[in-house]
Amino acid sequence: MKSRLDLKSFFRLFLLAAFPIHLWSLLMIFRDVEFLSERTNMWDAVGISGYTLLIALIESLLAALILLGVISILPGKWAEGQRFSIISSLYMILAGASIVDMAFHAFSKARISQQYLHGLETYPSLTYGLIAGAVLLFCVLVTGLILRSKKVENLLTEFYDRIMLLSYLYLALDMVGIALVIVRNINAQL
Amino acid sequence: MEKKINRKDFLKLASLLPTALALPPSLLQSTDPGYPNIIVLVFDAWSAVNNSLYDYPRQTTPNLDRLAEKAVVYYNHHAGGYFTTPGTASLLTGVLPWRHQLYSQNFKLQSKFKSDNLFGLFPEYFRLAYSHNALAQEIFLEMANDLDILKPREDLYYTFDPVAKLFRFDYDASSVSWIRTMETIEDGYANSIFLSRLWSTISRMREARLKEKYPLGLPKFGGTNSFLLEDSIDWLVENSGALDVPSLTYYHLLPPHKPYNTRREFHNRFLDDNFYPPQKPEHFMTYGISYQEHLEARRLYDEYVLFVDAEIKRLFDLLSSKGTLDKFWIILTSDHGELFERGIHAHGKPSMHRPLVNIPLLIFPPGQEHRIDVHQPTSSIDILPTLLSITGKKIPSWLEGIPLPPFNPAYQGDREIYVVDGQYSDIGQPYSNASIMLRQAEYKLIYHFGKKEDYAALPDQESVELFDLDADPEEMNNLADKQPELVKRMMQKILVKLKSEGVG
Repeated sequence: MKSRLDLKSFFRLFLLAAFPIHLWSLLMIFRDVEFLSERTNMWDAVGISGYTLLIALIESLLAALILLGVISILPGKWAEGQRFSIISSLYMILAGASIVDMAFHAFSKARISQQYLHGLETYPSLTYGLIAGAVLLFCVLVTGLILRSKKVENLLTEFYDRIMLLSYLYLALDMVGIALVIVRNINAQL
Repeated sequence: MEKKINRKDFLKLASLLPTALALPPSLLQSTDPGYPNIIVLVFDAWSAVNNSLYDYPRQTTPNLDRLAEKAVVYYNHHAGGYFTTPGTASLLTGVLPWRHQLYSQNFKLQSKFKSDNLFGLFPEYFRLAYSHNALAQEIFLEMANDLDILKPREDLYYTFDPVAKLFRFDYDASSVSWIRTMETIEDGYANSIFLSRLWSTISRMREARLKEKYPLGLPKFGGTNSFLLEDSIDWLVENSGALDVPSLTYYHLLPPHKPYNTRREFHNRFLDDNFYPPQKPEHFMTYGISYQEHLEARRLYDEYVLFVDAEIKRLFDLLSSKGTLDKFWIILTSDHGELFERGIHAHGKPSMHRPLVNIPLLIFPPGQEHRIDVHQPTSSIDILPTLLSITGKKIPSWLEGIPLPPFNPAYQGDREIYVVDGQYSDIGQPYSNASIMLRQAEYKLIYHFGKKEDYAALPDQESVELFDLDADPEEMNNLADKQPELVKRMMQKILVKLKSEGVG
């Protein structure tokens, strides 16, 4: 099957990649803003958020490039829709696992005393291994389901299309972030 | 009115005479002594309690023990606050947090002290400041008008911060953003879900090359801001004393601040050495850390202190071989201590016990050949007036600190020494949540009150501890119930002081 990895495909992947990256970044921004404004002032807190959004935008672009690269090496016998659905699902599973792991550290108070002690991991490597195994198994399972069922593929594609709509909102916020960074740097030089 | 010296005063003054006699005569002249070069070297979170110099059972400072033979050694020196921001601000301004108001990084330095500080009071000097620690760097930024060189933190870091380099005009916000977005190593999460993991991996791989030398990882500030203490010491030596004008160098180095990543030769030095410090009652500010965990953390810290001690020796050796050692007054101290007891770790809570607030202070006057031990309680707010005194400058009346013994023969050993925290109170208002330590002669009273944050667990919203440090240096026996009259007198002093400072 002829591959159609053009600019439009890249933009779709970019919108998809931007969703979990921005979701987590914004969650952290809202979580930090009070602390950061108390640390100095609200203008600095907003400025720090601007840099965070700028980095999130760059991260999304890099992630989309990598996804584009991976999609191009998937077997050509798979339909374009299947390949998009598979790569999107794998990306979402990885992003979800990363977010769950970070949320565990960000919101769990259970082992806070351990965090103060050097050399003690917040959870043991066996647990890490089990989580990685479960994520891998889930990836294989989802890939198999997409390849075997057109219904699953369509369902997931529809879901990702809806998600991408939200990413437009995030991109608008990125533009605000870039504007903030520019204004702050001009102000600092005046 | 002329004040007559009574018998008690005479005995106090007489006790200082032998120490004063041990100083080179030129150092006791307070008028026109010229402008000697000065290095103030601060090691972060360095508790006096954990140094063999101060009779700690572990041999943590063998080099300092020797170097101290030509120094003035202060045995009962106190920080102004319990962590970097208030501790450093007190050292630099000569006043306690109730005046400079830098209780934490969320507060602003009281505007008067942007010029009235260690740098502003030495305009004839070439003034250089550096810190590994971002909190100290923020204070320097407030005082930057009186600094000739404020060396950027990242200049002596081993790691790389591209955002702060790219947006250097907005350094603080961009570097904080980079840390929040990329660094997962310390707390396991960051604002970025992918790049942060990649960055951590790259940082770990880069550091792995030095794994042989630093088995626990490189010394660092925060998650990935690693550095080599050796580089910092080398830079200090290279940039000291090369000028025709007198220099004042303020150097704030992070070790032995956590993480306690010591060098290979000190790693596991105290493992299984059967040192068991006394087990102490859990404090109401506890993190819930067990005695065994305290033992492990303390061992790692002590092994890190060994590293600091070795680098101090190397600094003195390098200055000596360069022929400049005798051209400096060297002040060696810390901003606050570090605590491994009562369920509290490091310096996260203002418990005000000795390991947290008692810090080392050694002054190396040029040409001094004898050791002088000072046992009177002293405070870090005394360093600025001491430097003013030894350089023959006028001591402003707004300073809370006074020149230290033996440079000040009138120093009174029963002076009131305070350590203060009021970060959970409103600026300009009486303290609603605070921790105050009053040390007077051998007695120490700790007064906590409030109901917010650290004080939420306080029964009756206040607590008073009284210790006789001569009889009980480990602060095991709270005498508050046994000596109500003394508690009443010391509490009265605290309340009067709070009132006079506008916070009571």
